[in-house]
Amino acid sequence: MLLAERLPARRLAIPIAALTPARAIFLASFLGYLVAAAILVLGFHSIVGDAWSRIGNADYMLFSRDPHLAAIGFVWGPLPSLLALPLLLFWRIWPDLVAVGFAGSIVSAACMAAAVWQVWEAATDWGVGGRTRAAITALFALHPMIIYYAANGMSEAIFMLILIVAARYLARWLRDGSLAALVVSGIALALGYLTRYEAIPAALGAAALVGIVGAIRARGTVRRRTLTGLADATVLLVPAVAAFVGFAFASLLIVGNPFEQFTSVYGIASQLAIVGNDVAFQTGQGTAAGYVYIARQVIGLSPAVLALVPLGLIAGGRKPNAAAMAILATLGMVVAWSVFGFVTGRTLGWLRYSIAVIPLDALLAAALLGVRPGRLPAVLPAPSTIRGLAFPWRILEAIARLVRRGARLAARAVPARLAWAVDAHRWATGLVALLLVVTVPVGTLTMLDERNNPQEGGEGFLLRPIVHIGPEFGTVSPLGQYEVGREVAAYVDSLGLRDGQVLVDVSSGFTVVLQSMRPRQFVITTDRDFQAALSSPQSFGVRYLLVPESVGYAQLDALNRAYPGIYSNPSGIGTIVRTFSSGGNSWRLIDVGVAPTG
Amino acid sequence: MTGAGDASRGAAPSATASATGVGHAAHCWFCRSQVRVGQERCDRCGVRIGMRGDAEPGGPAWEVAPRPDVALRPAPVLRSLPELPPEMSARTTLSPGQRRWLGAFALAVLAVGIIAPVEAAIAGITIVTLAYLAALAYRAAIFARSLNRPRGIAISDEQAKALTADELPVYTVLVPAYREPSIMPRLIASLAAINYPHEKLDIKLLLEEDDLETIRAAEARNPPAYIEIVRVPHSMPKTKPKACLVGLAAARGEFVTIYDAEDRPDSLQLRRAVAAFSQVDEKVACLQARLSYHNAEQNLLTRWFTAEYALWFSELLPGLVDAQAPIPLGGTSNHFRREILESIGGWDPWNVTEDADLGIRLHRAGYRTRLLDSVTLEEANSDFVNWIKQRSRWYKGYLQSWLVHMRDPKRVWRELGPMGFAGFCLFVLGTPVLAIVNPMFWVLTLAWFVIHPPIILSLFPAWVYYLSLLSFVLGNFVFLYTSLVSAHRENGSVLTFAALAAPVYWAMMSIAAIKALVQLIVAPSFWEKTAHGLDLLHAAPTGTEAVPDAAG
Repeated sequence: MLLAERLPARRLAIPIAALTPARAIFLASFLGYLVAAAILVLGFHSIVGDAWSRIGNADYMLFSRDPHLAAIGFVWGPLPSLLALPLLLFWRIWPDLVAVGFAGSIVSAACMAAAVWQVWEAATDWGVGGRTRAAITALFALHPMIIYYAANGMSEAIFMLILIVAARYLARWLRDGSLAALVVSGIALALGYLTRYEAIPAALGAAALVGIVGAIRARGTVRRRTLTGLADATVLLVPAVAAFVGFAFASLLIVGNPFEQFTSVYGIASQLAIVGNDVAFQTGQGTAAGYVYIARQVIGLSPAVLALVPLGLIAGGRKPNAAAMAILATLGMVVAWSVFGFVTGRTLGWLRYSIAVIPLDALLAAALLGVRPGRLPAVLPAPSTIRGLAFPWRILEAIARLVRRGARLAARAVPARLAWAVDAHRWATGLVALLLVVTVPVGTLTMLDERNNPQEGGEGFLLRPIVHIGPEFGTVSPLGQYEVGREVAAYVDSLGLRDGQVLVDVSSGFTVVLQSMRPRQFVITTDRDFQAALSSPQSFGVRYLLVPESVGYAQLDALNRAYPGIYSNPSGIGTIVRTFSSGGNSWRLIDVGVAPTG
Repeated sequence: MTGAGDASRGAAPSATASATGVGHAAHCWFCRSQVRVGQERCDRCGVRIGMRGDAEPGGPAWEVAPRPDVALRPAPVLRSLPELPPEMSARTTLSPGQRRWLGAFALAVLAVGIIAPVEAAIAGITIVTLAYLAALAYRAAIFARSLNRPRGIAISDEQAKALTADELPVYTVLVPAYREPSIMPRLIASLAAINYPHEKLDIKLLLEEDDLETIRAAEARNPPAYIEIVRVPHSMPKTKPKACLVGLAAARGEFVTIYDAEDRPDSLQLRRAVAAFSQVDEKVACLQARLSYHNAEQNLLTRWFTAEYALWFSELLPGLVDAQAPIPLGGTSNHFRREILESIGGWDPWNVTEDADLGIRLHRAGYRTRLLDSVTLEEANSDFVNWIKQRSRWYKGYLQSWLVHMRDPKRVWRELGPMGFAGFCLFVLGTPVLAIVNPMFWVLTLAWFVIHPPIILSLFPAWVYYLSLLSFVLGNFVFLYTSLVSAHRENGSVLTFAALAAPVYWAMMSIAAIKALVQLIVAPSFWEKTAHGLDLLHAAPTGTEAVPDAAG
């Protein structure tokens, strides 16, 4: 429904062959991002665990020993896994779709390409023309962080697309009062919640803006206007609230906990408990150094934020720039949350949490340079009507008039061959091009600077093999998850086991299960009989336990929690068959023997 | 289709003057009073003499039930009104073929239910869930298509007023009313407010001849010449569509419309309709104006009702028009080209939602309905009991209409096309049926939460369970959000907040739907026979069911 709204029936009648600039931009970005994904994931095996594991969630739903919808899990928003679902049907033909999670990269490349297209369309909406529009689109599309997240299969790409759509249609409502636009924006925010929970601040920001503008715009008594504003905000917010309630309801119904993503053992709270102190120590979270850390991230990704956000806030004076307000209320709120969440110790300070600053700046540039971004109704009284301000204000206005007239005269005086020097379009294009020239290298340095990543697994870490290509090209992945998983999977596959004979928690064991060609031999966390198998593996028919070394997140592994110390000393439970160790990851296969018959 | 009556049923046809050319024996075909040769209209009842159908040896449309309180006239047989062929009329609810199919189906269900009750229940739940999802997808799709579009053909005030008296054709306005003496003064005033040249206006106040109170009240107001009081002779079925047929028989206008007695139409609506008809092609036989309520803010019920109408007339009907699906017309403010209306047989007097039925019949005959962006304000039912009665009549009528048109499913499929057929089934059958099954699923969901009975677990195997869950979550969202958005589009905040509480309103709909179904089961004759209580169905002007007539 999101994008269908954009396609008027007229356009559907035209043969697909018509390659409009917008379509060309989408296709070119998609292809470019796919190439980047192939190099990154298929070439270097630089796979982000979270992206891979989301593919796992979709995979368990279809191909595990116990395929069922709830296997998609409730720790993460379901949308990224659902989007990858159709691709997984082809995993037998192309195992890498699952084995290295390439299906996720295809989805993220497509979504980021659509986001690029939406940036272009937003600039068109707001009256940015010609080369300026192209430069703004490039500012977003060519940012290294955007390319990387388009390629690596993470949910950021979907989230960027959704936020841009939400901002664009919110701006349209602010400008035209189009109810359909408000509905599209509301549904986008709901889908955003189903992707990442950081959509909540965006939804609240958008709702507040809509409520205020709706009330100011309405006619009638104060009561009537307040109610109208509330009603406008309701239309925007109901889909997101429904997504929140519906997801919590489904989660409650299926796993018995409405807020799995926050409170479960794999949720945010647990993660914070495990690595929170470590992160705080490294980043100075909670101290003055923490502010520097987060500021370096945000500004490092897009230095223009320092100028564009203040300009966006004051643009238009008494009648604010509608597009800028829409952007600040959605994308701006997400960036604000990444800052606030970090300094108050609620998030881990990953660089990617601040990625929204990139579309924020690109869209703000479009809103400020466009000729029809729309104006909001005036909230404050005109300065000339305020006692004591009237006189100085009139003087200021007179000066401004003089300056404008002088500028016009000066422009007329410029010789024709120097006319380009006063051409506003050229200036705008030049400014954006300058931003592009500055942002891309600065952004690249920020990404590669490992100080910006509190733990292993940050962008700089994952890009290491590409930056320093060595002899191990294509064999060693940055986290070593790929190699160790492949090794374990190959060994277990060779044992010729029956269904359900290997017990493994996929929260870290997904690397094994996804690289196995026989996924049904595993009893995994999402299986509805997992707990039964865990409490008495032998009588359940389980022959082997697959246990990761109990460090870092692997401490959360269900087997490590059920049998503390099993990795180092499984005596009394079973015997160690084999230890797999590579890239700093270690797994042990433990034979628990065959249950006594009878 | 016209006049293809069943001659064997007929009493002696009473010849009309023009048809027989026998001057001395000429009677009005309608009220049997004497008329002169060449006389255009009957002096007594005002119907036009010698109009359509009288050249054909058509049989009578209706038998006449004797009434003790009205002196029996010699064979007041209604003859040359347009008559529907039996297969197009709801006179009998089920055709013999349908009866056989339904019987066989019921037997099959019973057999499977006995042999494998759980599997049968699972299959039933799956089918209903899929139907829900289909209805949901269809509704969301047509809603999305119509949200950004104009709500029908818009004719500006200037355009409407610019039409001169010469350009405007004669326009007939039919206003059926029954036992509403108190409303007459306001009605005549609001009819007089219609902005249309009086010499081109042909307003017919259709009052039942035994309803002397209302007739007197109307006459006491001394209506202007262009408002004519037509006494509808007593005959069965005594329904609003029958009265309209009588009015149609006497109509002079090129166009015909219907207003209810309490309607407050936009005063330029007739002019807009004329202008709109001139813009669309000949296939467009009907323009439906938007209906809304003037008492939306009276109480929560009227707010819900208004929000529902807003969704129906501003979003869903435009979407149906777009999808080339048949439009179930709303009870009033539908404007017709008279010739086409007559040629397809007019309203079915046996159908309790004759408007919806007519919309489908028009579409099947190849004609189209468009929407007119002009509002008629009605009075929303503000009383719970009355609302339930009215709504259960609508649901019954929808079921009736669906059954009538499904007597030959293959032909209907051919005539409507796949999208049209889907729209027809999902709206005409789906509306009452989903309202009936809704509470079952609510009870199941509630029971699952409260007592976790294992039987429910066995009724919902995994995939059915997830489908149902999807349908439950998405369905409630789509229905709530579409009504919320259209309420907001219609009338800002007041309706928006009422729409948030719409699930309570849905529960009321279910009560009404179950009432309609129960009537169907415990009193099947009610649907089949003419003698019993069909006069109940004459819609009184407030939209409630009329007081039962003694003749039943």
